[in-house]
Order: sequence, then C-alpha cells, then structure tokens
Amino acid sequence: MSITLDAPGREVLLMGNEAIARGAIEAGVAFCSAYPGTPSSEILGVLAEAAPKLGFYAEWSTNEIVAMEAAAAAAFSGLRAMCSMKSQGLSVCADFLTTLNLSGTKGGLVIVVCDDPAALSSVNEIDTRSYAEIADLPLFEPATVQEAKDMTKFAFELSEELCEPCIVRSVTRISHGRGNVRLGEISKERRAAELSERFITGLATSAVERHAGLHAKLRAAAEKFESSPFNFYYGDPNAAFLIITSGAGWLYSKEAFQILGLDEGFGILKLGTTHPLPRRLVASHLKHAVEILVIEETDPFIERKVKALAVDLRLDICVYGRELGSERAFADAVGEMSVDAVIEALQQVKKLSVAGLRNAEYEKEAEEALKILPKREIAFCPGCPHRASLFAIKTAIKLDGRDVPVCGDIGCYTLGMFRTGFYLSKTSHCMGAAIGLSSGFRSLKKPVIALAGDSTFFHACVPGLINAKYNNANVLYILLDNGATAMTGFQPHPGVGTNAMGEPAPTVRLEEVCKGIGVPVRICDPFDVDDAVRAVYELLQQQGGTRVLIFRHTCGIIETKQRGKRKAYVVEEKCIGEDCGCNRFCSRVFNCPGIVWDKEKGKARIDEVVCTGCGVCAKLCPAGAIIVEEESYTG
Amino acid sequence: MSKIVEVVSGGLCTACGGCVGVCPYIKSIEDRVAVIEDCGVEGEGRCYYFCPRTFFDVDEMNGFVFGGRRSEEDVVLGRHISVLAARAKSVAMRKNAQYGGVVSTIISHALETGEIEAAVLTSGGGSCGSYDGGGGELLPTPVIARSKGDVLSCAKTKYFMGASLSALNKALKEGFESVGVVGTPCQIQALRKMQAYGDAVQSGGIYEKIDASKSVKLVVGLFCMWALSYDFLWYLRKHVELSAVRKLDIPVGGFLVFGEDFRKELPLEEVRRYVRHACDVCYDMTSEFADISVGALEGVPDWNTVILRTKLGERIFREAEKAGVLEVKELEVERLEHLRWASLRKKAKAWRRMHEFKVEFLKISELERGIVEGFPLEE
Ligand SMILES: Cc1cc2nc3c(=O)[nH]c(=O)nc-3n(C[C@H](O)[C@H](O)[C@H](O)COP(=O)(O)OP(=O)(O)OC[C@H]3O[C@@H](n4cnc5c(N)ncnc54)[C@H](O)[C@@H]3O)c2cc1C
Ligand code: SF4
Ligand code: SF4
Ligand code: SF4
Ligand code: SF4
Repeated sequence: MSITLDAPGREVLLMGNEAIARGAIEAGVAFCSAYPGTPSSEILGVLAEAAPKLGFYAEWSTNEIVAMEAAAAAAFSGLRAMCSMKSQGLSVCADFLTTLNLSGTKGGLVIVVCDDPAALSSVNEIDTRSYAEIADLPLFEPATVQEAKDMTKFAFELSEELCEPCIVRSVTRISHGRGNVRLGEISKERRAAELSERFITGLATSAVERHAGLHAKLRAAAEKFESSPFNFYYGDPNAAFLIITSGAGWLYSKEAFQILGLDEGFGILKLGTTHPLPRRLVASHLKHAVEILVIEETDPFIERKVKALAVDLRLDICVYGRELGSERAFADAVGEMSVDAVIEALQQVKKLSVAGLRNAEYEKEAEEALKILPKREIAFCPGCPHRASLFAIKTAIKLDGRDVPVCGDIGCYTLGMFRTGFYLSKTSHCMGAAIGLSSGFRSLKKPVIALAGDSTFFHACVPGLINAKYNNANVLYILLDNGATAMTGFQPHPGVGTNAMGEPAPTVRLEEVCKGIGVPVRICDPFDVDDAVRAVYELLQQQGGTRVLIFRHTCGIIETKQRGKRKAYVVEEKCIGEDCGCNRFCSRVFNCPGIVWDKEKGKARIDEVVCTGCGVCAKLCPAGAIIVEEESYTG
Repeated sequence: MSKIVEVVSGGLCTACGGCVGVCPYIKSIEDRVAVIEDCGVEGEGRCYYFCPRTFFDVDEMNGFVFGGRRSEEDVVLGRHISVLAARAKSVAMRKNAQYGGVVSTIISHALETGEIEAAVLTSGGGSCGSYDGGGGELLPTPVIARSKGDVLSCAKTKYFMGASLSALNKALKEGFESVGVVGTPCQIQALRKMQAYGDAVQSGGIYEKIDASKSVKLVVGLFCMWALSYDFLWYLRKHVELSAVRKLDIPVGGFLVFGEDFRKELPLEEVRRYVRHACDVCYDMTSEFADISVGALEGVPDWNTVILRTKLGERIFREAEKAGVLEVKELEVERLEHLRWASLRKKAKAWRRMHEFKVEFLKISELERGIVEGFPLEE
C-alpha cells in the first residue's frame, strides 16, 4: 500500500482521500475515527488498513459526532487525532464542534469534511465551510491531491500550535480525483496518552472569555496564512482582471485561462486557507484589480469576504460571484464548478468570445456517445434484499387499504422514492429522520411506516425510537438489516462483529436494542416474500403503538461474494410474457436488473452476467417459469 | 383491469379468490383482496371474466351450466332436479361436520372412487393480523385436499371469507386434471365464470394448458346468507375466549358459539353488524349454479338440506347413497316452502340494495325481475 510507503521524496499516484490519509500518517496520527459517507469513506478505509501495521488506532464510529468526540478525547490526551466525514456529518457534529472550539485541544486535531457539490451521492449540496466561521476555526481547502496530503499534515501542526482543531474541506473531485503525490517523511514519534489539563467550557469558565481567546488564536492563524505556501498568485502580476479561487476551482480556472489564451491583464489568486482570510495578501491583489471573478464550490464564502474587505479598503472594484440577488452574480450558487462553468462565467462577465472553442464535430461526437450509452435508471443491485422488502411493504400497504405513508431514510433504500423502490417513500431527509417524522404524523389517524437500515439505526435512530415508544406513536418501524453499511462500501458497524481494523468485535444486536426500549420486535427474511407481506400486514393491523419489524437478509453483493452466484433461467414455454396473467411482471414491475425482456421472443430472459440467482423473481413469477439452480458457483 | 379495481375499491369484492393467483398483481390476505399495481394489460383480462362482481348474466350462465334459459320455476332456487334431506351415515363424520356432514362425505367419496383427484376446500387455521388471541380455527384457509384426512380437517363452516378459489387457481397451475370444488354461492359463480369465459382471455405460457371447464369435475355449493368480516372477532373475544371456540352456528333467529364444554348464544342483531358489505348485494342463497347444493336442515342439527341440480351431481350423490355413506330422506313440504321464501327474500333484498347503491353487475330476465320485485319486503 503506497500510503504506508516510507520513501520520502518518492512520487506515487494517490486518490485524494488516500493523500489525506497519508498526510495524517506523515503527521504521526495516533487515533482516527469516522462514519462512512461518500465521498469521504476511503480516508478511514485506508487508514484502518494501515493502522495495525503502523501501530495507530482507527475506528468506524456509530456516527459523526461520536467520531469527533472520540477523536477529540484522543487529542485531549495529547495524541494527534483525526476524524473524517461527509458534508452532512459535520451538521451532526455541530453541537460538539461549537463547544470543542471553546475547550480547545492539546494534541493536533484535524477534522476532514468532504463536501459533495452537485449532490452526486448526497441528499443536499451543503457547503460546510460556514461551520468554520460559526466555530471560529481555521479552514483549509486543498486544490490538488498533493495539497490534500500537505494541508492535512500542516493542519496537525497548526492545530497543535494553536491548541484548536483545524478543518480540512475537500470536495468530491479532490477526494475521488487522482494525482501524483511527492511523499514526505512518516513521523516516528510515539506519544504516551496523558490527561492532565481540563477541557471545559461554558459555565465552568467564562464562555465569553474563551470566545475572546479563540478569536486571538484565529488572528494568529490569519497571520500565519499571510505567508502560507497554500496561497499563491498566478499570471500577470498587475492583472486588472483577477480570479480568486479555492479548492478544485484553481485547476478549473487555470485550464480556462489556458484554453482562452488569457495572459496579459489576467491573474489568478489561489487560496488554500480560506478561513480566516489572509487579508493583507488578498488586499495586495485587490489593489491592482479592477474586476474580480470568484470561483469556488457552492456558497459565496470567499466572495463575501472579498467584498467585505473591498468595502473596508474603500476600493472601487467590481466583484462577480454567485451571491443570491447580486447584480453582479454570474450564476446561482448551486451545482458543481467545472472548466466549462469557469469559461462560461468569463464569457459572461468579460464578454469574451469563445467561438471556435467547441467545434461542431466535438459536439456531434459527444451527442453520439451519449446515444450509445444504455439508459440506466438508478436501481437496487441484482439480488438486493431492499427490492424484496419494499415490494412486500407495498403489497401489504395495498392489502391494508389505508394508504399508509412510508417515511424513508438514508442508505441504499433511499431509492425507495424511485421506481426501483416502487415510489414508496413519501419523505427522505437525514439520518434517522424517518422515525422522528413518523411519530409526528399522529394526526393522520393511521399507522405510519418508518424505514431505517442497520447502520443508520445505530447512527441516529435510537432517540427517535424511544420518542415514538414514549409518546405512543402509531408507528411500524421497519429495519432493513442487510448486515453492512452497504451504500458507502460495506464498512462494518456495531451489528456485524468486526471492527474497522478487521478484528473481531462485540456485536450489538438490533433486536436487543429494540427490546431494551420495550418495543415488540418481529424478524423476517424478506426473500420469503409471502411471510414478509404477512408480517408487514399483520403489524400494520395491530391497534396502535410502536412496533419493529426487522427484515434481515445480507446485502446481495456481500452474499454473492460469500456464497457465489446461482444459475437462474426462464423456461420459455411457461413464461406468460405480455399476456394477461403477467404482462412482464419480472422485468417491468419487479424490475431487477438481472432479468430482461426479450422483445423478439416475447419472453423474459435472465441476464446471467448480472443476475445473482437470489431467486426472489422466481418466487413472484406467476407461472413458475423462472428456475434457480440449487448449487452456487463463483465467477 | 379497471373493472376489478372498481370491484375491490367499491366494497363489492366477496373475497371469493377467483382472481387471486391468476396474475402477480392481485394479492389477498384474510378476506382482503388488493390490486397491487396496474397490470397494464389492454382490454379486459381474466380478473374481469372470473369475478362474480364485474358482470353476471343469470340466463347466460343458466345456459352454460344447464342449457336453456331460466323458467319461472327455476327463479327462486335455481335449476334443480330434486330437493331432499340427507346426512352422513357415519356418526363420526357427522360429529366432525357442521351439520349432517353431507359435503365432507360426498367429497371424500369422490376422492376415494377416483371421480376427482383433488378438491378445493377451506380449512381453519387462518390468522388475523389485528390481534393474536387465538381463534384461528374459525378463520378460513384455502386448501387443496387430496385425501379423506384432508377433507375431514376442512369440515365445519368458517363464517368468514378467505379467497378459497385461489387454491383452485393453484391446483390448475400445478396441473391437476380432475378437481372438485366446494364453495359459497359467490365462489360457485366465479368458478362457473372461469369455466364459461376462460377461453375469452388470450394467453400464452402456462395458461395455454389451463382450462377449468375441463379440469373441474364436481362442484358442491353451500347455502349462504352472509359471511362475517374479521372485525367480528373483536366483538366475539369480548364474550368468549377465542381459542376455546370450536364451532359457530346460525340456527333460525340466533347465533351460537360452541366450545369444548360450553355453548353460548349471542344476539343476532349484534352479530349482523359485522356482515361483510359485499354480501348485501348477493342474490344467491343456494349456490344456484352448483352440481349439488348443501345447507342446513333448520332445527335438525345433524341433517342437511340438499339440492341436486345437474345430472352429474345427481349421479355422484346417488352413487354415494348406494355405497352406503349417505342416508337420504324426503324434505317436508313446509321446509321446502320456507327455503323458497328465504331464498326469494334474499334476492329481493339484494336487488333493492343494488338499486340503492347503483350497482349494476347483475343481469336478470324481465320474468325474473317481475318475480323478485313482487316479493313483499317489510321495511
Ligand atoms: C359463510 C357461510 C355461510 C353459510 N350460511 C348458511 C346459511 O345461512 N344457511 C344454511 O343453510 N347454510 C349455510 N352455510 C352452509 C352450512 O354452514 C354448511 O357448510 C353446509 O350445510 C354443509 O354442511 P355439512 O355438515 O355438510 O358441512 P361439512 O361436512 O362440515 O363441510 C363443510 C364444508 O364447507 C367448506 N367451507 C367451510 N367454510 C368455508 C368458507 N368460509 N368458504 C368456503 N367453503 C367453506 C369446507 O371446505 C367444507 O368442505 C354457510 C356456509 C358458509 C361457509
Ligand atoms: S414473471 Fe414469469 S411469466 Fe412473467 S414475464 Fe417474468 S418469467 Fe415470464
Ligand atoms: S434471481 Fe431474479 S431477482 Fe434475483 S438477481 Fe436474478 S433476476 Fe434478479
Ligand atoms: S387483466 Fe389479467 S394481468 Fe391484469 S389484473 Fe386482471 S388478471 Fe391480472
Ligand atoms: S373475483 Fe372474487 S376475490 Fe376477485 S375481486 Fe371479484 S369477488 Fe373479489
């Protein structure tokens, strides 16, 4: 594994998240924690792999705030610690974060947050940089994979110097991008943990005083940032037109300049430390610029600071950005940045002609290429237990007849809101929202179904379930237990019996937690479709109260890895096809990608490459036309 | 497709089970039938043709089962050869049965003589989702019976509906070629529609080989006034321990609950509140399109009233009598008159309700309509 390579000066190809992990290793991290979430999961994934070899500790925590608290504890005892998470995770941590800043830390503590502009695999595209402002903490924004490593390492040093946590904000394109990274030395320092100071806030000491102290530290950070190598200038030193950018925007801007051939009169100020702003550095460039274009991911974070600075300096300059309602906004502050977006912005504000940039041939080729791509709806995997579970839930709701609403949650089964999930979910918000929402729907005067995955349950659902029980909410809570944090890459969780480092770990059983709370629990395999329908139906019919149904079946991908595939095929003579009695139920409605419609023959056909042989479609086929062989094979 | 959704959502579904198991879109639990998803089939499919509540043309069905239109004489009890009283010879059989055990005797005899290889029956052992307090024996479960033992375990009346005909759809798919069916009047109507209109629906795959008109060899209909909804169990459990109940009965003017060692009477007016709404518009009390219809003999708990309708039904009944498993006697004239009165009264009530609710699935002749509308219904 190249992230553990002890070869200073060597260049290796790393993924952004690996580079962050490497930065932590070089800094001598002793404690790492995280809750998985795209695009951040690989950070702890690779750290956990490296941990036993390099002798540090890594854990998957049950949620982000717990991860942050655990890492903070390690840092309180003088160790270097890091916690990583996706964007929404930082919101989960907000309460701790805004007191952690007041208590400060002893060992270096780095919080890595991977934002997901354009919400490629998230429910929103929140820009977490504002938390750095809210919590008065230094913030780094790597612009390259190399910087991802270097900034992480430096963040530890700064954190330790200031005795405050530092935040590294990555975005999908950095975290999942790849680039050459020149390795540094791996710290060999081994500290002994020791808790001698008190890390307290609020009532015990004066929060106001601590707040003032925090500001002093921020000032010190700003001073350092004035000369930080993470901030630099590119282009005409006296440019009248300036792009100020951070993160992934740096490479987009540079490429746009190159494509458009912009040199004389144009410059780019690339910022790596965006909070606190190195005001003198920025001011020195504002002075030669007449027009400024701010390129950053999602919110007008730098833009506002630059505008405020310009006002302080009484400069008469023109700042183009994406501030809502601004006359000078070149676009709305949504979605992802790209080279194209930068070119478009330049074209708009500078009235540059981009004619000839994109030739007709290129456009045509792109269009053709799009046509060849098969149309793929977002769907559950073949053999996925959620498809069976949601079909059973849908059937039971129809049989119940009260149009019982379903509240969705975060996990693969978030797809419950799409066709692959039979459009079941009526709500979908954050981790654990389903159980909370469902107990508030009491005025509907009918039961409500709430969903949660196993990992999600441990993450954020226990207080919601206790609330439902305590306030006697008429809720059927269905836990879709597939034995993994599947959506983010099968990380273990408290229910599976191993920890992040692959060691055996005590198991926390869903049913025991529920029983402990005092709610009745029923367990059922969703692949036994009839039983599953009956279970949901019967539990819906019960007279009120909170009850739990655990649909337990291992994630299709893990199951196929463990026991191989089974061969399935369609007996054509039996298949009813499009006629009354079926009308392509398997491919049209149940819609597993493993079974396709052979238009020419007018029969269903199993796509052997895709099908796992889970056998659910065979149970639902009205003609018994799908046969699944007993024996499994690998391949 | 559209029509069956109307039947189900309009509360007309009898839960006969005719449409359950013919496609993946229609599912049932207890006495509920639901259309899970639009099947997208163009035009009308099997569900429409099989369901007794989409359309039912009495004269057309008369022609299909017996040949010809209904005469004035047939209107009240349906076409029949004779009406008599009968019971099982075997005391054990009668003890195990609802009344005289005629149904169980005929079916197990037909199985033993090879007349049929399987029978679609309704056993107990159902369950009810809204509570877990026993009483499963009272609740119906569709069954494919192969032996006398199976038949005995299905004896006694379950006064609830439970999609019994889904077992017929299952049996036909499994390839059974001579099947007997026991059912309530609505179930017999559905079954006959399956036979009469089965080939109206084009279909490939396994359905090419399925033909109820050939495979169903014996149709035994039950008398039926109405069936109860599952909510009744909530009422019943207030009065008795459900798991101790062995049998329910509705003699004239009462409602009886039997346990191993108790007998309790409940007021009929209260029980009536739990009658399934779909039964309100049921026009058939005596399973008018069966080969043989069997009901109670009022006031004589271990005898049955029997109506022999088709030649096939008569032959099978007489053979059982000859084989010494049935005991037969004539039915007194007053009893016959009472039966006719009760049957016509049910028709008149249902007909009136159909008009009140603007429900128009039933087609009857002018002649029949005159007779039914002429019945003096008290308010
Ligand atoms: C819902 C219902 C209401 C009835 N109402 C009346 C009535 O008002 N007046 C009257 O004279 N008779 C009525 N009967 C018929 C009567 O209860 C007896 O079933 C009939 O007389 C046969 O008696 P037996 O002793 O031969 O039955 P058994 O030999 O005990 O056999 C009973 C047969 O009925 C079938 N069966 C039981 N429950 C159901 C069900 N829910 N659906 C379909 N099949 C079932 C079983 O498969 C079994 O084969 C009703 C039956 C039912 C199911
Ligand atoms: S569900 Fe069965 S019968 Fe229907 S198309 Fe698929 S394989 Fe054919
Ligand atoms: S057996 Fe059927 S449901 Fe399972 S993976 Fe294959 S096609 Fe999909
Ligand atoms: S038309 Fe055919 S496929 Fe559609 S619901 Fe009716 S029986 Fe099923
Ligand atoms: S066929 Fe029977 S079960 Fe189906 S909708 Fe009609 S009455 Fe109901």
